[in-house]
Amino acid sequence: MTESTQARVATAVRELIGAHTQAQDAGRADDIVELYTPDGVLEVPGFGEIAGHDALREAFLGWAPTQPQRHLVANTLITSATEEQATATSDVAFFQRGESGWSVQVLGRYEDVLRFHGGAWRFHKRTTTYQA
Amino acid sequence: MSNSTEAEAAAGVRGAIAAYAHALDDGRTEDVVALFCPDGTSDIAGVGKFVGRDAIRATYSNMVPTQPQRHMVANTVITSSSEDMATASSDFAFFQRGDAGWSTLVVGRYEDTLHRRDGDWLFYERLTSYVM
Repeated sequence: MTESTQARVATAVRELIGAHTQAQDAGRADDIVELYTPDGVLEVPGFGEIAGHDALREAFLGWAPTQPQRHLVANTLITSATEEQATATSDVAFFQRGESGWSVQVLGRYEDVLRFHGGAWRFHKRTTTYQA
Repeated sequence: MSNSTEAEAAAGVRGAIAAYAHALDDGRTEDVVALFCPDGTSDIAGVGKFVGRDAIRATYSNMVPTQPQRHMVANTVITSSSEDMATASSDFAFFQRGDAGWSTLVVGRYEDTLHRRDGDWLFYERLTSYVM
């Protein structure tokens, strides 16, 4: 793969991760689902594997924000990239605003497998782990 | 626009966004000012709308840190880009260290319009808002 292809895939992957995060904190479940391949899988501790658009939509509707929140995703490292598939590792901090102001609720990591599907990069699998 | 131009624009935009955070938290007011177009605007919710480098300098010279602080910017999505113009949306958290350690004072969003001037990506307009 040429260097410019790698830069292009890296850019697309970062955009995709950013779009997922912004949609999630805004509670836009349908927009999140569109970012997954039809057979896309999300793995979350305590929830197991959530597979396919219908199950993903239901899960994200259940996680719709009830108070101000933000996931800040940082340290994204593209660990492999071809024209068709890429993998990336990112760290995430989850902030929520309660009565005493903003606080960090969870620190975790995303291990993502992204695929070029239907003319766009999408999540094929996202594995979420929390820092114990 | 070719894909490699898009990747180049994305790199330039992300660079400007990071440079702003570094300069602001370091109290380097002149470096913050230089990241705006001469006819650029910084519009900060609850503070005001500042047009042009003199107005921007006057405002940011009052924002020089008095204690350790960091703006952590994440989730940047480039919402449009061309050869010499781009728009981007990012989340940020503002941390300050006080007597009780670091705390998250504010969480917000940047909505940016950047222009490429003489090869450098500069803010034409930065809208700063806070998650309430």
